[in-house]
Amino acid sequence: MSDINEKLKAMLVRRLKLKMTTQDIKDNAQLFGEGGLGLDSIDALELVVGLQKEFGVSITDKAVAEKVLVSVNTIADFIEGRK
Amino acid sequence: MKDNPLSRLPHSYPFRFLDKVLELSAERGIAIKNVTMNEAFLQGHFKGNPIMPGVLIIEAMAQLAGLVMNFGKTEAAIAYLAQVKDIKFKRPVTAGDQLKVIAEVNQNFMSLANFSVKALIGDNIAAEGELVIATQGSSY
Repeated sequence: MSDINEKLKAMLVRRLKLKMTTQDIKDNAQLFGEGGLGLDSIDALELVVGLQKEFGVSITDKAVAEKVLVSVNTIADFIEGRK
Repeated sequence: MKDNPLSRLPHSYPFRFLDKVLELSAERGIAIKNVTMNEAFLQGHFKGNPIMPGVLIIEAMAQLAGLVMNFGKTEAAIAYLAQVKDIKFKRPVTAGDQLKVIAEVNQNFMSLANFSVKALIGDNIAAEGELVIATQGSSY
């Protein structure tokens, strides 16, 4: 579980060119909107591309995206559930 | 020419950078842009050394990507360029060149799409990279 979290954080920093380190990202921090990482819709697309390429999971449905793309924890749970 | 896919392109003179669509589907488009000495942009870019500006090559690739995104939709939405990623320009494009533009969907997500794009002269790559296109009203 924590292994996936670390890989996810590394992917976020690398693919989204975040100006922070993996240690700065809390497992339950909100990815989008104010108060969290402040990602936007273009970041969401890049995140979806990364999840497909690096973790083999596909997210195309809006309802699924809104549940999964919330925090590192929610994405990790989704990946675990797809194994 | 009601079946001409270019009729769905909202861009018009002097900002249309595609002349003919060779192939179009929801996944991929291929189109041609013929570059002539009459292009207004070649008059000043550069005087005595006409080279198609790289940003206009990106525009041609983005216009095609917009057509791909709107393929099969009853009402075409305006497609906005949302991100330019890792575009490389490998050779200059000048008067007399025929630019073959290719846009392929990597990933659709909501009203955004990531495209691999290329512009070729013959078999040689003039420019390649990725673009993100958003249709009107994109939000997440």
